[in-house]
Amino acid sequence: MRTRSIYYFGLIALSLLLFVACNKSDVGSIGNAQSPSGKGGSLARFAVSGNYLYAVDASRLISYNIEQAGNPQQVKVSEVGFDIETIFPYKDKLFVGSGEAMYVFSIANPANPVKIGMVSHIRACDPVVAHDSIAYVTVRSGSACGGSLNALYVYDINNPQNPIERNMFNLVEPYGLGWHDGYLYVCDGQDGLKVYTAGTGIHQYELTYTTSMAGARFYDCIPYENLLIAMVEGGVILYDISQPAAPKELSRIMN
Amino acid sequence: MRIKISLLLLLFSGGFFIGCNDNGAPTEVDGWKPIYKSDIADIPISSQAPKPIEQGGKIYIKGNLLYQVERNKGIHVIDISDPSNPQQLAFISIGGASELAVKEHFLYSNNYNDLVVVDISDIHNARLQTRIANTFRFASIEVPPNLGYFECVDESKGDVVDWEYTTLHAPKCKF
Repeated sequence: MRTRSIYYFGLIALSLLLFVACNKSDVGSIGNAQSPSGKGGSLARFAVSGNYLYAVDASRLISYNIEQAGNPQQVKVSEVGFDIETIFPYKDKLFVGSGEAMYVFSIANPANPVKIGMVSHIRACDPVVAHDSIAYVTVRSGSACGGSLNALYVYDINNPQNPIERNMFNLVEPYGLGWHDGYLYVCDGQDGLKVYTAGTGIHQYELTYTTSMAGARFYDCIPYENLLIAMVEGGVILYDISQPAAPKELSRIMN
Repeated sequence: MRIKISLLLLLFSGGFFIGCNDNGAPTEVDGWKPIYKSDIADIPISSQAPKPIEQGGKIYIKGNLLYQVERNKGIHVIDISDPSNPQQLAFISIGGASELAVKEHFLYSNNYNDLVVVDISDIHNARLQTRIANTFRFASIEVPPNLGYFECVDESKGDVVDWEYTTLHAPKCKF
């Protein structure tokens, strides 16, 4: 009971903080070409967007003002759900992946993320990436994640309050994924890094398997200009993706 | 610690009781062994010479510098300005590290459940700038990351920070 009252006291204290923070006009933005921050993978629990650091732990989304980068100020703690695993910032949204759902938060007011939508799926681990009005989610079973399906889901998020499943592809053991210039890179564990070409127009929810990289167990990747940085078992592999459909291995950082 | 015990875990505990019965567990079997916070030396946050990547974790890129977590130990810093010939620059020791992000010349990571902000303006002389203690409650570390036998958690040894897959001798717990 004591911890519970401390918890509520904390919530009250935070909401006061938040009230102060909300009164301050703040225009954090993502996608700034002069971005002072960098880029993480889809398995990340930390995301920097504008002047805010968002972190997810097992059950909560914690927001910090990092206008002064060396001195973060916690501004909000949001209870989200069970088994939260990943966070992906895209424009004015945060996509939070959990063991049983994808949650969508609006950060139109970056100091005050607000849960605006969610979609449940079968129980599994699920990193998310988003592009325009589409969210791509992988679900992986066979571990503490539970479930029995290994797949890639394509959600229509035109209405983020109500994401709609538009497509599904079976995979082997998918972990993270990355989007670059009309291509989706999916890290399918031992089965390789798979490249899909995204459809356009009325076929926008389609994905066409194009090629795959082998020779490692792939966990996550970050497309970064013409580079694809892949986190693999034991280290990192760098690929040239100036031709996005045909990644070319440049080097390996592993021992 | 109490707070971490979610309803879900209570539901799971039914399974543990079944698992913890002495129902003929093998004398030797591969499974999960808890690593306690006290098992891992409390190393100060500082720059060290580059180290081999052993259990490479999450990655983050900013400018020409690539950062990779070494699970529970710290962060490798790699210069990829020539991506055909990347160079490991330094290793920043951070006990319990699993997460990372960078803004300006500050690295955000976690020292177990603390948020730590590390000044990396000189990558060879990283120093702790700020710490927000006990801000995180990370994933259900009370249970191993995968199904199977595991060595039961001894709460008297303190918080479990990770699990290691190894050979167990007559484990009493199963997940």
